[in-house]
Amino acid sequence: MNKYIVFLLSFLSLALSSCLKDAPENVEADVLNFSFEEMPEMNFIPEKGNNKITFEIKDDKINTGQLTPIIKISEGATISPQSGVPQDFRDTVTYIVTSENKRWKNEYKVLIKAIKPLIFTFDDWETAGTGAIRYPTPSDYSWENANYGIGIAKLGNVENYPTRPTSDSWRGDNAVLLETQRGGTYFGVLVPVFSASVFRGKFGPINMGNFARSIRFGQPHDRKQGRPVLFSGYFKYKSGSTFYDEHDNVVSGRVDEGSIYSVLFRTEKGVAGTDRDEFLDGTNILTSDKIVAVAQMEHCRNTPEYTRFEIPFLYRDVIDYDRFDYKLTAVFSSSRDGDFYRGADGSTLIVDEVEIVCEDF
Amino acid sequence: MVRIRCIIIPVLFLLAQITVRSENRFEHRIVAGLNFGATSPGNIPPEVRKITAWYPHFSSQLGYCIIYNTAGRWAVSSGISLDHKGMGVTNEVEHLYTEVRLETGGDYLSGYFSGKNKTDVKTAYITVPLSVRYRTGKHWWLTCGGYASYTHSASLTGSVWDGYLRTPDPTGPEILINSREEASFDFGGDVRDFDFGLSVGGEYSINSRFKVLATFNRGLTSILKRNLKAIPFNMYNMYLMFGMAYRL
Repeated sequence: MNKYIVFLLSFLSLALSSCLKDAPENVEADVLNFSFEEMPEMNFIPEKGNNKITFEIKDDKINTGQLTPIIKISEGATISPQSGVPQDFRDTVTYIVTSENKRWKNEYKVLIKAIKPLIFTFDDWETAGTGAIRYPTPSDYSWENANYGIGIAKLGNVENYPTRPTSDSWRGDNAVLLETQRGGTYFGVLVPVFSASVFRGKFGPINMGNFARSIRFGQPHDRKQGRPVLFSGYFKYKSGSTFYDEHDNVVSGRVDEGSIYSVLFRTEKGVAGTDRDEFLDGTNILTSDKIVAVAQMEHCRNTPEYTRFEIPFLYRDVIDYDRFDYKLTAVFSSSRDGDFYRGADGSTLIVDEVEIVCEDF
Repeated sequence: MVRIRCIIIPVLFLLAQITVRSENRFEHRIVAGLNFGATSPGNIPPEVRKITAWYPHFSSQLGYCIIYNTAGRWAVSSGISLDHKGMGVTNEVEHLYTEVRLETGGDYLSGYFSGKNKTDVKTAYITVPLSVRYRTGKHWWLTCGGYASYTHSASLTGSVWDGYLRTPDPTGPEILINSREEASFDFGGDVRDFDFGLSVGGEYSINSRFKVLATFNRGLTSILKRNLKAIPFNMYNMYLMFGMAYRL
């Protein structure tokens, strides 16, 4: 009898013997961290899928003709040129990261710029994204938008991205056009409208549970850039015809408004560019207790012709660079309640020649 | 014609033999048992890094079995049964290629998922087995054969969480999937109508009426339709049935 039990047990073990295998070679080819030996305080963590690494330097004594990068990349990946090899960074330097399994490559463009006055013309645009999802984005990398999120939600089947250039400019080649569009249900999340926005900050990673968290507002604002006093520019606004609430119900008679504001907020000292970096997001950009100053247009309503806006920064707190670092964002959105998925299909905000005027400390 | 006659005549002869001697050669049974096992890839893909839990569902089998005994040690058996198979598994994957629909009826979003996954399978089959039986001792039989199953009902549900999707490929941006509520799936409609497989087992006669038996059934066809892109590998039924038989 025993031998039959052995026979059965051996079948049982055969049945359950599907073992785990060794990990396959890594498919990721990311730069996880980019810094320079000569400038240890500068650090950059690229957003996944965004291969632009831009440093703004304030110290003109640094010799950008000869800098040694220290680059951390995905496990098993290789990079060319290699980390630790000095390069001339007076112009854009291209790095190619290849995944461990050799199948995937990422090309990174590294650029060092001197800090310039905060004047934004929105004249220059380029195409970003990968695969079927290609979307317009301002060439000034300090500005971001949510086009990629919309591209993913609609799988690239987007005729006109909500954030795009328009030749209807106040001055120069282009202005930025923001158009609220109808949405849908994505991963079970009802998004009746996509409000368009353009902002100083970063976009991603995309947070499926709360899209407003995918937006990370703020660019480092150095003491040398001065104290922000005035937020100015030119805009036009047209409310869309049908206003939808977050449950996709039509709110008859409601006229949409855009939003225009700039926020200065504090962060912990030295965290910019590290994995402890601090941002405000769509859920707390106007409510966080880290806010130091706000310049906000009270109502951005129907305005058929280009109109200048000049909004002073109102300070709630003192600036203290000894204790904190600071970030500055500027936000333009075609539907002011867009973070809550409320807005009118077709609401359009056009903005051009934006300036954040700063005074020396 | 000659060929057909060559086959038909012996078959008729055999049938006649069986019918003549059949009275005590045929045996009718009721079989009841439980299926324990897994619906799983034959080889677990290397992207699956950890299986954190496996739990069987209460999966009963109830059927009728007919056996034809020869004069010697050999016999053949067949029958029909209602056969439930099911289990749940939670695991952790790294960079597993998948295609998911964000919108009902929408296009597929492809990407590489890293994170936690729970899959729950419940199937009900109408199964017709066919086996050869060999008596090895006074109380013992070994069985070996195959089965054909028709899918009566099927559910294949689950969710992913605590992870991220790189889309459309590993160079693309990350979509964070934090909680289980954000991304669940239901591929019940993508389970195939038929399952064919092999079986091997043993049987012990307690007395002339009651037997205990164990049979391992291994599906050879994936339970998933070929065009299901969300699960990029085959899934096979691998279940061990423990049961009792009662001779009528």
